Amino acid sequence: MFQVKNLNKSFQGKTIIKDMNLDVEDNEILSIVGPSGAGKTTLLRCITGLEKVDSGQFLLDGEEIDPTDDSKSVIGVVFQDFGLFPNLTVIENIILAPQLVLKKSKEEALKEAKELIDKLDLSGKEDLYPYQLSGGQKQRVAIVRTLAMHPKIICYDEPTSALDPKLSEEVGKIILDLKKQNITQLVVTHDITFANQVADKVKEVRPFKEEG
Amino acid sequence: MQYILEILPSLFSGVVTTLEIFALTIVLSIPLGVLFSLALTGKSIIKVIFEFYVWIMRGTPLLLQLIFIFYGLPIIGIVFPRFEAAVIAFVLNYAAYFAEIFRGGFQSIPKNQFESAKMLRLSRWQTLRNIVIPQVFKIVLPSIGNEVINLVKDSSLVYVIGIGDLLQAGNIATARDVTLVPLILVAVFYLVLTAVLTLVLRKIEQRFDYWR
Repeated sequence: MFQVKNLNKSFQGKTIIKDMNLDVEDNEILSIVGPSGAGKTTLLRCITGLEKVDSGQFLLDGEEIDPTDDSKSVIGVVFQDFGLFPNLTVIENIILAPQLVLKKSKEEALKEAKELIDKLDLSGKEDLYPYQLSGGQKQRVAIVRTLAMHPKIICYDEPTSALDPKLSEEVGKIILDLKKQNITQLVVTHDITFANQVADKVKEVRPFKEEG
Repeated sequence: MQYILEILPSLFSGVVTTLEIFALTIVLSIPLGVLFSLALTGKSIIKVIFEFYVWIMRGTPLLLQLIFIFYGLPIIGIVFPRFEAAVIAFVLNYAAYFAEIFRGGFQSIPKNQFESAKMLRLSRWQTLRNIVIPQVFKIVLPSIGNEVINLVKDSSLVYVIGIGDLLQAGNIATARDVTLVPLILVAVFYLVLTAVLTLVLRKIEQRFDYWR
């Protein structure tokens, strides 16, 4: 179970997130929806440790975690623009961190990557560079790359923004499929239809307005 | 023809000196430039110091810097032999230009590359080595090529501290024999050198064309 307690975040005195609380069970998918400027992406960046919070707690199975601590992060992200490394092939993108960070042998990293590649229908693309892939393929590579680090929680930032409706449905299937693997998933989106399609729970955020 | 054969040995020994200065400068100033560019993208006092250094090196003539190091510094008791003085002046000057080129390269790497690397828990050095530096290298290659070609011609400035390079050899022959032939030969030598370098640089650029 992943919990966010009393999260506050402001930029230069402007409050973005005020006393936010979230509860997500294991294997659960939480969609965070809301209009642009509501602080969805900021919330995701706080949870993933890319932004420091002003105050608040993150709990995983009751234990406090610090997302900004890189040494034992349990959170993976699939960015809106995927953030693939253009100078590395698909397979190199995937096995780089498992080898360097998790200290896996190349064979082991390759073996695991292969399984994920097959599962996400990327067979045959291993040696291509990101520029040779379609948007949907890039996204799946980004998902595989994140999965290869065995995160307990995966966050998606606007996963459907670059995809046509058919591909949106496919990524929805992938997200639903990952539920079976004991992974908690957070999906930030402005696409309510998509949110309802994949989510167990939907959390709506609104732009924060100062009182008075 | 007979005359050309007579002066060729002295021109060739001049070419050797030119190439020595060229090669030493390239080998030393490019790595230094990378290091300095990291200092230039930092935040502390180090950044200010290196900005001052770049300002001095780019803001004053290389000829003045050569004269300063070889004829000027001995006045305050710092003496370098001719050749060393020339190499020091060229390395310090070109490292400043390379530092600015690499700084531009580093700053053009999209933020998502750093954030992806951070979410994959790569260390700062792992990120630089595997992701940032290869991308920077490709971006800066054309600008580096320009400087490399410039350096071949700039190396002729060493005549001012009495080093017998290619231009010096031609100049002496012209003054002695009152003929244009040596100077024309010198021009041909420089053209051949820059043509070869242009080809080499193009080959290197092509080798990095496998990703975009």
